Amino acid sequence: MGGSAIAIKICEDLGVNFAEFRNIQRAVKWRLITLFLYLCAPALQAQTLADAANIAARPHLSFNGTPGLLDMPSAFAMPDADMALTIGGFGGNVRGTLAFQVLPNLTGVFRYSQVRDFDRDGDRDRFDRSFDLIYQFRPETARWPAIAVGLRDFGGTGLFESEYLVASKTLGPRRQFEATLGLGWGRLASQGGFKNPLGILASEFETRPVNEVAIDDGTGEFEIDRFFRGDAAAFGGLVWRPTGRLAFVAEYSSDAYELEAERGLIDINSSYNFGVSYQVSSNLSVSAAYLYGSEIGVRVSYVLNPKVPAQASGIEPGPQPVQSRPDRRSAPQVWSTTWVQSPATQNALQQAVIAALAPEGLLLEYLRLSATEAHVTLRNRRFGRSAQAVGRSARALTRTLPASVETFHITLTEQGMATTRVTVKRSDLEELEFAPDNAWQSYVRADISDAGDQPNARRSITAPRFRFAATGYVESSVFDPDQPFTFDAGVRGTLRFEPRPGWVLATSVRQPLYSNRDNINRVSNSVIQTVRSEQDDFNRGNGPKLDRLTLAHYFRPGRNLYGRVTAGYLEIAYAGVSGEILWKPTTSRLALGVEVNAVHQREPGDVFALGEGQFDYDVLTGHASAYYAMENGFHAQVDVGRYLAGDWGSTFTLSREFRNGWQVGAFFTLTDVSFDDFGEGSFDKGIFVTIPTSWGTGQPSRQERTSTIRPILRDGGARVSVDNRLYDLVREDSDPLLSDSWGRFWR
Amino acid sequence: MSIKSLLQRAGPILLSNEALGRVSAMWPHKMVRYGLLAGVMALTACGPLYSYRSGGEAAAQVDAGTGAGTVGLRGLTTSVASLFRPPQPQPRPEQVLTPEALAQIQQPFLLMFFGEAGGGFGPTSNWGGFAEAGFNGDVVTWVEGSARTISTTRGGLLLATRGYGRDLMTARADRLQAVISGRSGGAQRALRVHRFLDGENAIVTASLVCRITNQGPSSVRLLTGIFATRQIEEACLLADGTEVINRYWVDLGGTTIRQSEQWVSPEIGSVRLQRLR
Repeated sequence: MGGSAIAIKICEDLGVNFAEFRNIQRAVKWRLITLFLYLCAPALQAQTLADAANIAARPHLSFNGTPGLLDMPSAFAMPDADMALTIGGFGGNVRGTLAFQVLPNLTGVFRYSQVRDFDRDGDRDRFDRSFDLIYQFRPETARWPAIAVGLRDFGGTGLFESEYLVASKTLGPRRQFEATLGLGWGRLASQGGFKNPLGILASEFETRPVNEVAIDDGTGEFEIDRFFRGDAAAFGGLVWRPTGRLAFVAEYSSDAYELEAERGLIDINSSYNFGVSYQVSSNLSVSAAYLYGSEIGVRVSYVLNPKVPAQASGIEPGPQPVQSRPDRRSAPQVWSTTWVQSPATQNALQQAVIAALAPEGLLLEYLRLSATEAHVTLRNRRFGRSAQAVGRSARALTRTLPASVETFHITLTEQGMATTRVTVKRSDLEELEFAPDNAWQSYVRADISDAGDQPNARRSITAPRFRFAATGYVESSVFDPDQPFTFDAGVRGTLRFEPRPGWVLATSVRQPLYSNRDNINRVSNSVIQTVRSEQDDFNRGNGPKLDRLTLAHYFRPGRNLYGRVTAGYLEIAYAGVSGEILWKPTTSRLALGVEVNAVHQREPGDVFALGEGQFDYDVLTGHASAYYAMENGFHAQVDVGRYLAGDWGSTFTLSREFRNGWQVGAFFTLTDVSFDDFGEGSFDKGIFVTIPTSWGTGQPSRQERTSTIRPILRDGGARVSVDNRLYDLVREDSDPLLSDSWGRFWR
Repeated sequence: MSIKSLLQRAGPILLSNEALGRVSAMWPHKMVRYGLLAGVMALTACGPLYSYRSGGEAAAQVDAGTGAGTVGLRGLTTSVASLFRPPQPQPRPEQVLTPEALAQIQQPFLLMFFGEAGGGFGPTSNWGGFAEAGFNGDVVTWVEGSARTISTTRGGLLLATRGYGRDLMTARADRLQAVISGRSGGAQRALRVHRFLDGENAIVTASLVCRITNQGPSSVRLLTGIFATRQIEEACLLADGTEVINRYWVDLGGTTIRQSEQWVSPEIGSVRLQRLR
């Protein structure tokens, strides 16, 4: 919102009224209209209308799950924010890939691959986790090809380690051909390699330092010194699309599959691969191929885009319409304020407000009415975007409160503590309900402020004190080095008791009914204090598990400040006390926080016992954190402090956030534990994806699901995981999330 | 993906956006029917007073009213089961709105039909019945039994929809309003502005350049009778070159739009509104 909204408004007013220029000559009028269209078209048509139409044609994907031919990459990029999930397999190789178009020209890739019988002389499969980065430094133009550079498997074990430079161009009168030519290094130079042309820059480029890692599974390390070194080789191919859905692909591969062929896992009879692909829908594509003169391969890809929710702006029930008031002069009795003195009326009004908010999934925490003002404190249990909760409650209030109440102070709460107060004028609601640019105008006229001066309510009016739920559950961890998918499933009971707003006793207990976790019996080879690498021990077995049992207090120590103290069994592996203070002004993009935890490890396999022997470990851990929501939709977080193993260091997190609640991000932690002491992976890192439920269902919901993928969980840079960290609680009700989704105020 | 096509397409269920869409596309069927019944009930039993209900509760009330029994469980099982079979054809308006049922409706009542995949409105169009729910100045908000709403001017010009996917957040068509109310003649050029929410909750604006023409008198046959009207056509061009034609049949000597075909959004397409009462 801002400049563009004003430009649109001016253009719109001009446009809607241009037919009013009645008394001028026809020719002049037409010239004016043309001028208007010329000047205003960019402002009015700045955005494409349909979300789906914003998604340009999707490129052909390879077996590696990135834009490409069959086994080789191309230089095309996916549309911005596209997320492609691909499973491709041939000849004992199965690759599952998650590719995300981080920026229009940058692709981030996580891949989990299985090479059958790779290790221990064919006794064991290799499960490999790898990351790629692809940068398209030139998109395709009418005359020039797209050019991209890619780093494959740069942070993992190095099995697929390779780099490439590639150019692609669409050709033909109907643009039905896509030609690709590239130069590969590392693994992509194992077939038809020749002297590295980069040797003219420095002779060091001609030799590639040996990478032992790929051969015996040791530590994956960041080895920038090997990039683009050693022999290079050419690869290329052609995609022919006779129809919009069908594509025939032929390629020459520069990958000789040396390690696999050595082990007799694959026969490389040819470097020419041929395949056919079919685009089932805009999301789903499949392909089959004949590869390396010996193998048949199959690929399935599913592509989605966080910017395109399943149900556009939603299919939830409509809001209660604003009830406009009669004119004060024509109906003075309606505007009478004598009701203020009547406790019975006040009570009846409270009941009416409760009843009006209930169907909206909003609970009344506190209500104070005067002749002209209403102070309403809400607990929002339904709407993922707080602006919609505010908008709905404001409209519901117009249907219940006496005409004299002109100002609504609507305060949002999280876990009993007041977060943000939005003050709206009732006459603005009446005036703007159907105003063409009501989103922008209502935002400008609303007063959004910090509710830090408001203590927690002594007693909540409608929020239930007790909440109990029993559900089925699946607790899973993926991509273990020994087993792709470990999980236990069973029944989970959760109980929440809130004697007073802001005081919460919460517990979660699960009883596994089926578990495959016992299949993993890896003993930690950590040389530092084991704080996470024995995590499996805590989830193993069929006994009941106490996920959490905590007493927490949430409070506002002052303006812009939020506080939390949590004590008890904080998580599956640690018990103790956790305290946190957060500074987050309502309108600031920056937040700062401090968290301190004194914890003791718990005893695996026992519900309540604290750890003994190997698990007799306690530590003081904590962090100072800075959070910053950037204007371009990215979100950065830096945590500095002491980690669980007593190591000091910092974590860097960068994510791309969509205003509908999607988040896709990556993080890494560097501490004073050396790469060698850390072990496999060198340092803690991972990626995460958060998907809000409402994105898929079109129904409002505060639920979301976060999946975090770490190549490996070890002991350096580990943190205790406490429920309801303040930043996540507070930011929903605060800028920029609140103002960025203000369009939902009128939903 | 257009809601319109979702409502009509049946076929294999893929775990896709479209599948999710289809799951919810089961709802309008049931909801429309419930909606109509709820609308009728509200009108006959309690008058035009709007009592706000969430979708499930509305359906539950209707179920209770028709003696259908244990609602919650049934709703769940039917919605799960409906995943595995193509949606049942929806009853046509005349099957539900028999002359006897119509005789019960004394308050303003509106039918809305969604356009079909190929454009146009046929007997299989998805439809819903609406009763008045609230007034704000010149704007009437109408509610369906599923508690989804549309808002129109008192005459019947569509200004907003809520709950149909790519909803119309607001609409602006000042010139057209003047023509319909008779304040201004036809053959005019005008700008029409629609606002939507995009997938990231930002407002997007569609401006349509339109030509408004008076087509002269014409009669309209609705379930409640034959009405003498004057027809107004509004031919509009979207920026991407798409042409949409809105048509209005306005009561002769009045300003009530008896029937209309109005474009809503790229995904929903056009809807037909019929003012039965």
